[in-house]
Amino acid sequence: MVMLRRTPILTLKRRTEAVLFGFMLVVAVLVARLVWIQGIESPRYRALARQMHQREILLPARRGLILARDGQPLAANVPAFDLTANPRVVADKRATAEALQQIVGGSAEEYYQRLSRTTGYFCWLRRALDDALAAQVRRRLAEPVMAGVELRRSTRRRYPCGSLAAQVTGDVDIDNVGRDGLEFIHNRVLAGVDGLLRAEVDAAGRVIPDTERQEREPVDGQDLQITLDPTVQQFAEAELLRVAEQYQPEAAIAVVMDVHTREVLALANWPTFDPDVREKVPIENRRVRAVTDPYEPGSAFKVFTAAAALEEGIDTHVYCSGSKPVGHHVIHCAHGKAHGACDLRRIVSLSCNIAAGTLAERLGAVRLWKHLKAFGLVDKTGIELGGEAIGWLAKPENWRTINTVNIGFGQGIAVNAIQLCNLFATVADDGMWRQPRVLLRAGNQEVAAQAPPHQAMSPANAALLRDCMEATCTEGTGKSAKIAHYRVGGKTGTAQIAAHGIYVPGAYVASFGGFFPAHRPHLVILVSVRRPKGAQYGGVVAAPAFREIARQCAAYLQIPPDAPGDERDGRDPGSFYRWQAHRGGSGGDSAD
Amino acid sequence: METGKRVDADGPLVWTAVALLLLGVAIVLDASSPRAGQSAVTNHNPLYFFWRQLLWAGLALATLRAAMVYPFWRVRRYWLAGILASVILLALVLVPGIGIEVNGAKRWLGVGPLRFQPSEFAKLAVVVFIAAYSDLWRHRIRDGQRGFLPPVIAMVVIGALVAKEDLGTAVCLLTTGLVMIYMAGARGRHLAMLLGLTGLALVGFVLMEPYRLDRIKAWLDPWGHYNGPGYQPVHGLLALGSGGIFGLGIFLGRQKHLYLPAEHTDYIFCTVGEELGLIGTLGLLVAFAVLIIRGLTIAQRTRHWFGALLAGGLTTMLGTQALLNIAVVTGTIPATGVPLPFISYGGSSLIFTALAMGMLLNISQYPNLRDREEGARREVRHRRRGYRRARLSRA
Repeated sequence: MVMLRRTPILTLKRRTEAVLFGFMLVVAVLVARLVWIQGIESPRYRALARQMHQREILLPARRGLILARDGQPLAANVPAFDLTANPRVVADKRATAEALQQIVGGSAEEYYQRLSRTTGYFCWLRRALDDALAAQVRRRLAEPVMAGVELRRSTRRRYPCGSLAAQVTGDVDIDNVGRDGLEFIHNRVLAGVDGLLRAEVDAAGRVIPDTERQEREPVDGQDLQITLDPTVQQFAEAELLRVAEQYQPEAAIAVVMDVHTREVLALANWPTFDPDVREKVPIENRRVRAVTDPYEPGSAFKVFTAAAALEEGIDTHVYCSGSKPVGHHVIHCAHGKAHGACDLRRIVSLSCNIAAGTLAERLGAVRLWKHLKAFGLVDKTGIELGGEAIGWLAKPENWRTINTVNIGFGQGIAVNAIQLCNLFATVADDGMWRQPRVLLRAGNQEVAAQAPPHQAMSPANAALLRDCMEATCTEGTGKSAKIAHYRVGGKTGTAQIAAHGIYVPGAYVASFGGFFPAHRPHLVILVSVRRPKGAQYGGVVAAPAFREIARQCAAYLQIPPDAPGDERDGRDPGSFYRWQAHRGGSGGDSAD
Repeated sequence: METGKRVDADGPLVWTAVALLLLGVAIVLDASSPRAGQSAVTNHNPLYFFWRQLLWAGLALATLRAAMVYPFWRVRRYWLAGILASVILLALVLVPGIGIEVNGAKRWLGVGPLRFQPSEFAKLAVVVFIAAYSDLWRHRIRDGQRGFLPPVIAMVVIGALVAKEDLGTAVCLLTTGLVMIYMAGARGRHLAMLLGLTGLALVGFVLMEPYRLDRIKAWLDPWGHYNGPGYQPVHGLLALGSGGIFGLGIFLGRQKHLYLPAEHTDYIFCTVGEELGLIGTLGLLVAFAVLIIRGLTIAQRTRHWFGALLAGGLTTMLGTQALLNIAVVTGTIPATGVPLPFISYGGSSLIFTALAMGMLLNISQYPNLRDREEGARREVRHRRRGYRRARLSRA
């Protein structure tokens, strides 16, 4: 019955109240939800959100330069651009990749892969673009197809001198982290400390204005000034290249060292590479072989034996019959020659194995070891290049006689080229051992030698030995090393290469080490050629290279001639006969 | 018809409406500027959305004022025209080539730069339709087939058309319709049935589009679907949560910097929560609560049947939409796209919200408007005539 019911308008009012109640219930639920999210859970959400939008931005520190001793940069920085993208913003990855291929080259497929590989907000597309390419990209950056693509400022390491001293400077990887040479070993000094910027970024990775906070100033890397002289280095490298062309060796080394400071003026390693060209280079070519590859010095080591003998004051007269039995072994002089009665001068200049071995035998293991130590031939030299390696040598107590005798003429002992060069320099520097150096200055600070110098042999004995070495270049095995108007002292070396316990037939290291002007030595130069073809003797392969380097250095460094009238020159073998004839004709005013 | 004594429009409601409208423009400016400043679509103009919203807000104020003075009972005569027009417009949206698709949803009609969302109009039309219908046949609503079913059918048709592209608005619309039918006096039995059917239909619509199911999964585990449908809910929560109680400060929100999608439209509440904290969100919630309370109070106070039901319907429409939006962005229910009335960027929404608000305020001015069925005489006469079509009284 209708009349018994509540009138509709009353129902409406009651039900409106119910609706209001329902609404308020929902409002209460939402209030509770908001209190939960914004009150109770808030710290958690806040931390999560911060994690997402707080970004640490590195302010790259300037990488220090590597400078030659004259200040010329061997490694420098040039501005470059990196092409990056936010893959989430890129609408059509395929189209963008193709557009990029059109603009900067490369492979569209690779760009596409890079864009698709991540679900994140960042990917590299191409790094170290030069200005011209970057400008081309910038021109088209506004196009819709390039949305999400960005151009970032960066720097690229360049080596203005190309392959010059490439192994010494080394190179860097794509992130400008050193991976070879000085770039690697002194990476921390060069790199400096990147600055840190904390900023909040939007979802596309862009910094929200006014949110940057500098946490740390960037500390620029320090410049390294090294002792290499680019010109001398160029002489050495050019000479090695000539040797390489002539003899096709496996490798070749040339070291030029200042006698008094032991600063390495040139450190050439062949074959070399161009650090600016990122291509696969055999790892051996990247090494500073002069430091990392010890080898048996052969006859060049007789300088040491002679020095030790002089220091110990033993009898240096030996009769060479061409061969000498030692225990079960028999040692020979090269190509079965017999040198007869030898004094020290003849031993050194004619490079007599028997005599040198005999001297070593007379000295004995213990005394030999003492002098090896004094000349720094069993310890690392401490040169500021990475990866210095030295040969392994047993304790002298355990040497057998044959070992002792072998060491006398440079077998059974391995040294690196810097050690050997430093041996010559020690003799040239009146017996003073000093640490060889390649680092001149780091930042504003001079780099001092780590090891203090010490007297390895007496100046008088050193002078005596220098005379013997001079004879090598005037009447001995090293005549090819002589340059006119200068007195040159040196020693040849022709060492067999040992592999797996035996000497490989036909494999030699041809060396020549020497100093000039002998009157007051200024430079020491060592040239070592590994496995030359067509010739093997140090006097044939290495000595001419020494001579040409020395000649150029003398002119470039304006070293005053110490024997102005001396026309003898290794380039012209006839000059030696003419000189002798002239001396003979002039009445023999000389005692010898 | 006697209008009774005209009173001033409901004060709290006027102030709430105007305050929300102006606040909305400011919040749009705040929320939209980072994205607008970086997007080529907006010509890198950070004020792009602000200027447009300001223009719309001006139009909305005018609309509000106009609706406030336009006698609400005159709206009643358009009840059928309105519902037919909305069916046609909604159908037009679905016709390829006419409907405008934005972000994968076809919801707009438009000529040139002017866009119009028929579903907004349809909501209003449904409210007017149900109010007018139940005014004409006041008792019939208790009759299953002849009274209850016609408005339900109209609602279902409109609801289905809307739900195809816009489930959120459809939910609003259906809730409003249900509440109105309930207020009009429908039987509990019928309502329960309708509710059940609506629920089933909702499930059907969810299953129809795979993305809707994904959204439910994302609602249950937003972090697990972070790289998909969970992204937006997660960033909504991050925005609200990092706001804390006092907020990060005006303009210092971070999620609006391209992290939170729809930061100036559907998820604008989160931007408020991030910058103004719990204080701000509760303030907004209270404003909407005031709106609901005042609106329903008007409905209760009005003697005029059509007016009361219209007021109840309009309030429910706005209230449902506001609460639905807040429920979505707080992750209380699965995500569905409805704008926050007054606040979210968007012209159609703002104009129709203002229109509804104006009508509500107009109703509030006539609490004593004589209902045509007041007085026993008319009542008896009406019942003697049985269920005949009643004449519309002229105001």
